[in-house]
Amino acid sequence: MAVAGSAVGLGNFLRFPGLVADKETGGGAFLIAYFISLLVVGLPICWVEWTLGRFGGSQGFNSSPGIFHAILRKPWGKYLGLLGFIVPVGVYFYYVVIESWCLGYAWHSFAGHLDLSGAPAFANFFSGFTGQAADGAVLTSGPALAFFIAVFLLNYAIIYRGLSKGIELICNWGMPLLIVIALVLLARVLTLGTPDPSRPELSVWNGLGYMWDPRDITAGLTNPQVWLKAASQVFFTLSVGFGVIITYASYVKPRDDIALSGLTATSANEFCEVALGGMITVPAAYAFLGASAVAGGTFALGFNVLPQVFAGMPGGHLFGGLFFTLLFIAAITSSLSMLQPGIAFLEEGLGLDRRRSVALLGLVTAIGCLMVVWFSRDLKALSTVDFWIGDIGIFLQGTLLIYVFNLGFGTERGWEHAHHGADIRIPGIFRHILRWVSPVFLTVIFAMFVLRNVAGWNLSLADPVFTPTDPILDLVGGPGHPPSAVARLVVLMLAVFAAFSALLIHLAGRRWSRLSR
Amino acid sequence: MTVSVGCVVTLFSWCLWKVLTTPRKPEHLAHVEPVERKDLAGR
Repeated sequence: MAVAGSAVGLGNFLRFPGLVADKETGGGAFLIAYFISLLVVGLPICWVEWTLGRFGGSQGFNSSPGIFHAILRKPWGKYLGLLGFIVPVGVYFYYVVIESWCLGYAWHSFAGHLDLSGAPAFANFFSGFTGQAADGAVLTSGPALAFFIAVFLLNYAIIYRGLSKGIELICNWGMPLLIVIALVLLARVLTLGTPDPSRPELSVWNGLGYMWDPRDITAGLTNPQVWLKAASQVFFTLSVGFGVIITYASYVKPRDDIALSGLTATSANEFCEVALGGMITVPAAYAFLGASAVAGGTFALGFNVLPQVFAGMPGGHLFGGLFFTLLFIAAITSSLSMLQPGIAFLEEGLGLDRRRSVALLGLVTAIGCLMVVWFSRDLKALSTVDFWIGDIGIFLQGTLLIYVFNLGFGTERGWEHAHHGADIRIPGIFRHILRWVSPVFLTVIFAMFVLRNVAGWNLSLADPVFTPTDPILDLVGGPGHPPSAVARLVVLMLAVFAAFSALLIHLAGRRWSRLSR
Repeated sequence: MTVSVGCVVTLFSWCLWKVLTTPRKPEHLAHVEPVERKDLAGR
C-alpha cells in the first residue's frame, strides 16, 4: 500500500491526461508506446527494486548506498547509491511546495474563494498564490506560506512516527479515501452531459472522444517524441528510480511475495492513472471550456483550468474541494515516501537515532524548500530542480539500477530471489526482458532524453537541428536568453548538496567497514 | 479507451483478489526501523 501511495501522485491526475490528449504526440500511438514501456521498463524495474531492496534488507541495509554496498562489495559500490539519496530528497524540495498548493486550493474551493469569472482571473489567482510576480512574494502573501509551513511540518510529524505508525497508517487510510473521492468525481463528470445546451458539441462524451481519439497510430509510433514522452511518463509515474521502492522493499520479510506486491502496486498506479485520471480531468475541462483549455501543461490544467470548470458546475465548491483534496492525498503519500530513503540512510550510515535523523533531514529539506519558495518568480527554482533532479536524476538512477541488477547482482540470481515466497510466477519472458530489452530500451530512451532536453536535438536524423533548451540556456545564456542567476544558484546548491551527500556516504562507508570488522 | 481502461481495471481487480485471498501473515515487516536510540543497539 505504501509503494502504491508513493507511485500515485499528481502525475496520475494531471500529467497523464494531458499527454494522452496532446494533438501531436498523444492518442492511440501514445497509449501503445505507454503500455509497451510499462511492460519493458516500468514493471521490470519495479521488480528489480523490490528484489534488490529485500536482499539489502536481509543484509541489514535499508538505503540505496547501503544496499548497493551490500550487493557490490566494492569500495565504490556505495557511491552508486548516491542518487538513491539525493533524488528523493531533491524532488521533495519542490514537491512539498506543490502539495501545499493542493491543500491551499482545497481550502479555497471549500470556502468559496474560487468563485471567479473569466480565465484571466483564475490565472491571476494562481500566479498570486504561488508568488510568480516576484521572488519572495510568497513570504508576504500569508495563506500560501501558512499552507506550506503546515504541510512541511505535517510531513515530518508523520515521518517521525516511523514506517508502521506513520507512513503505512496514512497510506492505509489515504489510498482507499483517494479512490473513493476519485470515483465520486468520476460519477460527477460522467453525468455532466452537455453543460451548455447552446453549445451541444461541448459534452463530456465528446470530451472522452477528444481524449481517447486513436488518430494516426502508424505515424505516431514512428515519431521518437511519442516514445520519449510515453517512456518518461511510465518512469515518473511508477516512482521507479526514485530510491523509494528499494527502501520500502528492504523492510519486507525474506519470504514475502514481492512478485505480487510489485505487480499490485503497479496495477494500482495504472488504475488510478488510466481509469481514473484519464476519465476525469480532460473530459470535464473539455465539456466546459472546449479543446483549447486542455492544452497548456500540468499546472495550467490543474490550477487554472479545473478551478474554472468547478466554478461553473453545480456544487462546484464541493467537487472542486474534493478534487484538490484528492490531489493533496495523492501528493502527501508520495512526499512521505521521498523522506524515508533519506531517514534510512542517516540512521544506518551515520548511526543516528530517528529524532536526529529527522532533525538533520528536516534542516536539509528546509533549506532546499525555502530556496524553491523564495525564488518563486516564474517558478524558476522549481522548474530548475525538477529538470536536474526530477528528470535527469531519476532517469540516471533507473538506468543504474537495471545495470547493477544484471551485472552486479546477476540476472539469474535476481530472478531466483524475486520468486522467494512468491505465490505467483513472473512470466518467463520477463527474465529475457530484464536481461536484454530493459537495459537497451532504457539506455536508448535516456540517451534520447538527454539529446532532446539537454542538447536540444529535434530527434530528426534527416534534418538534425540542435537548439539548446531553456534549462541549458538558463545556465549558459544564448541569443535573446540571458543566463538566469537563480537557475545558476539553484544548480550550484544542488551540486553542493550532492557533494555533501557523497561525503556522508564516505563517512557511512567507514562506519560500515568498522562495524564489519 | 475501452481496451486501455478495461486492461488496467482487470489487472488491478485480479491483483486485489489475489492479495485479499492470500492467507495473511501475522507480522508483515521483517523489522521495524529504529525510532529511538535504544532500538539501534540491536542493529
